[in-house]
Amino acid sequence: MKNRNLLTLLTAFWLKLWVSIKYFFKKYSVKGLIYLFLIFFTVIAIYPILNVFTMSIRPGDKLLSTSLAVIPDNWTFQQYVNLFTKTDFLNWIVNSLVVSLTVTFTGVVLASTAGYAISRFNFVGKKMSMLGLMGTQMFPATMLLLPMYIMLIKLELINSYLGIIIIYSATALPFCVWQMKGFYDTIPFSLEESARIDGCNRWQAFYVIILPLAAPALVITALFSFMTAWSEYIVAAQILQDTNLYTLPLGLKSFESNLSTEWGLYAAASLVVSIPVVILFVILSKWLVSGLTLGSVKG
Amino acid sequence: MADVRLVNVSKMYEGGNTAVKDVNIEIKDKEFVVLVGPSGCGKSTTLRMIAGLEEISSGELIIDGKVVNNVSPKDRDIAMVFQNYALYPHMTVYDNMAFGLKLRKFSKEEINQRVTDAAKILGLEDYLERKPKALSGGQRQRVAVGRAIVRKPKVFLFDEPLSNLDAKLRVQMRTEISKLHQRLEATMVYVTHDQVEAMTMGDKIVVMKDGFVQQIDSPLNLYNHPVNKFVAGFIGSPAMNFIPGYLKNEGKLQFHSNNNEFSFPLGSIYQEKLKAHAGKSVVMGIRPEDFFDVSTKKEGTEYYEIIPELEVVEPMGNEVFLYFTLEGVQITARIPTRERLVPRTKQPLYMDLSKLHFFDAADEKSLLV
Repeated sequence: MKNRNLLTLLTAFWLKLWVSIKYFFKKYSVKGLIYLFLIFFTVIAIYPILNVFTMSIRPGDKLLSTSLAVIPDNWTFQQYVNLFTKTDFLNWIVNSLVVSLTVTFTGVVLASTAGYAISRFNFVGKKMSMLGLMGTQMFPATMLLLPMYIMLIKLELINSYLGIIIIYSATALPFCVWQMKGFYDTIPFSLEESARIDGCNRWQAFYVIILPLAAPALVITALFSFMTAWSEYIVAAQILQDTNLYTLPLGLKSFESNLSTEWGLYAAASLVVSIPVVILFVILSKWLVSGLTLGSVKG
Repeated sequence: MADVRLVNVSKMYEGGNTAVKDVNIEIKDKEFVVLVGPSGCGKSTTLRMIAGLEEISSGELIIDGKVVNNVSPKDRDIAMVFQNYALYPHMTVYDNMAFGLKLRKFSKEEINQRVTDAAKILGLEDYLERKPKALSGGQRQRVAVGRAIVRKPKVFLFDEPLSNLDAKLRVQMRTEISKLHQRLEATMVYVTHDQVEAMTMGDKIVVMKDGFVQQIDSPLNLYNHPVNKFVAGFIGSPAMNFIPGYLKNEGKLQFHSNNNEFSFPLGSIYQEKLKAHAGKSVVMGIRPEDFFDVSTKKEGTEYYEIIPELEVVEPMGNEVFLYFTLEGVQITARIPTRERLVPRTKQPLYMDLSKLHFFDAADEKSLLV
């Protein structure tokens, strides 16, 4: 009898242990795999940036070292100091900001109004203009480089902010207009109608009621326009020849010369350039996520 | 408050589609008028034309004695409650209700007073700081109504405001809107496809079909004296039964069903009215509630007895719905009895011969009006 009790107890114990082990593996093994997967790709994404960072804090004589240490011996921020004191970096930042913010402003103003018009009104050539906008997205930017260049020469806009702002805006707008139109389509007509009965005219109904509701889409438009201008190199390289007008990508490239490349400065500048974009993304990420889902699901 | 008149109003869309044709409606001051009809009959378009959200293609819209065809919605002094509430999602309940007043530059005290009063009437005092997404469907509907009443407009317009609510809430809101009408003594125009709402709420009902007004009358007159087969079938629930046949004068005017399954002499009240239509193909209409069984039929009333085989029996508690076939037509009867009736049995039923309707088989117009 005693033995039997012991046997039952032991069986129960083993059974419980087995269930616990099974549960443990079931719960943690899948999650563990997922984390492993995520960590692997995060490392792949972060490693190059880390490498650039390492390079930016290396002392001048160890730039081409093959050491894999993230923080090198004798690390220094001298390259950053040099960047701001011995180069035109501040000037390039100002240039880039002027161009990018103007493009962002133009993009937001034009895309929000054009998208609204296309979403809400019927007019002659609506379908064609939508297709035309879409069509511009089918050509690679490099293909448009020559015609744009010729046009700017004829308009005497080569080597000017206005020229590059027009080109950047024209590149970013089609996507932004489509995007805004898609978002407006999900906002019920009755909201504006209600506002118009409440006492708004058409324009008021748009900017008091519809525009605040379209904030997520506006954020995406703003980000897209900003990014188009901030990091663009090829078009800028053709249009801006005066070094005083250089934007950041052009400035960075000027660290490269035929005989040597200032990798330390290059690395430091690259990191500084990416900071505003990262900050912008972090601040706006909340809107970005809700914007992308809000546009697709009516809710 | 004001009266509203639509004179020969039509709405044509590009491409030649006509949504509303030659509509004439007169809505008196403080009247509750319901526009009712099936989907696509033009009732919502008519309402939207009154609101100014649709252009009027031809005809005149007169509010308070002034032609307002070309007046923008904000200057018509109307308020509208939409089917999907159309609350501004980024504003609180208070701001939603105050929005129209702010645009009209009312003082802060006045706005506060009006919003608080409306919130009290509608039981929204505890929700003023909430956003619409934090409200239930019924509460949202109240806010939409509140937004309309704070403005104290000349005319209230309702576009199927209860169709998104569940059945119980719908009945509750129905009575609340009726109470509100009595309290505000306002001119109200209400669009619905639900004939029960129309019958219970309206002082006057406008029945529409395919863009045309079919009949404008009080609820009871519509029920008792429909001008055509469509109105007769649309008003009343369950719908009126129609049996095709013809009238024959055999000394006394008789109704014969088309394949002579049954015939009976018409009651005395019809003899004179229908004399001129002898020999004509007609459609006879009888409402489900004008059938009786042995236990419920009254003495002194003329009846015609039929003994159909019951196909479906639906006991509702205080009454029973019976479904059977007569003359190849599906018939519904509504008997005020609590007895248990059994399907697939023969059951004697009595048609009240004083409650019949007759329509011309060709143009479907009533022969009695």
